[in-house]
Amino acid sequence: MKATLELINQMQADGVIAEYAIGGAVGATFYLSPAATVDLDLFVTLPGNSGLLISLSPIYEYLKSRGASEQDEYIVVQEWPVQFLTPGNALQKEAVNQAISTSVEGVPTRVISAEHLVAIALETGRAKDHTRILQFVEQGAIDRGKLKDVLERHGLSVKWSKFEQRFLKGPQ
Amino acid sequence: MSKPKLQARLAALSFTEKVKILEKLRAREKAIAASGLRRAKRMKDDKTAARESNK
Repeated sequence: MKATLELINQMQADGVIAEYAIGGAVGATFYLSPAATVDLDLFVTLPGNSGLLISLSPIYEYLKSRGASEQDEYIVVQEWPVQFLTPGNALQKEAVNQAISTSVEGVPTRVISAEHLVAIALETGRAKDHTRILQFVEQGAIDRGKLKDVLERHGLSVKWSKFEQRFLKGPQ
Repeated sequence: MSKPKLQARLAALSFTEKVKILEKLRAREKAIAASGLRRAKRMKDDKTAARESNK
């Protein structure tokens, strides 16, 4: 992954993307015990992008000219299948803006905060997202106060109450 | 070591160390997929399911 992130950072330095942050299972691994995953989910913002139509073509062209190859919904960058996601709503934009700086083998990178990962998982709502939320809760990896703020800001408090009722307050 | 303790120990590793574990897990997944074991098992499961539904 070191080489993958180096190329992504170079792409950012070359102005193809503005900001990026790791999400998904790899992002969750920053906070939790590692769990197998096949891909790297990257939320990216594009420079000067304000229109409704967002194209990932510049990213794909840049990476393909440097040896990456397309494979289904991924582009394989230095052996890691990467899925580029553009923030589709205010929650995801905030998640990228407030991502945490870290590094992998000395390569700087950014990871979405635990509270934003949980909020995005709650919003997405697939079974695997629910499982991930439970891992965050069970491993004590979230700040409940921060999570409450994020959920309130993005209209997810009711959904969270339902999730809590279903998965965290059910019959023991 | 209990599962919660092991989880806590793994969660406390640096991101670099965790990513190395992810890479090993991924290599193992790829090796299993390449070996055809999963496909063989799936075909066996499908045959079993078909037999059950024909009963």
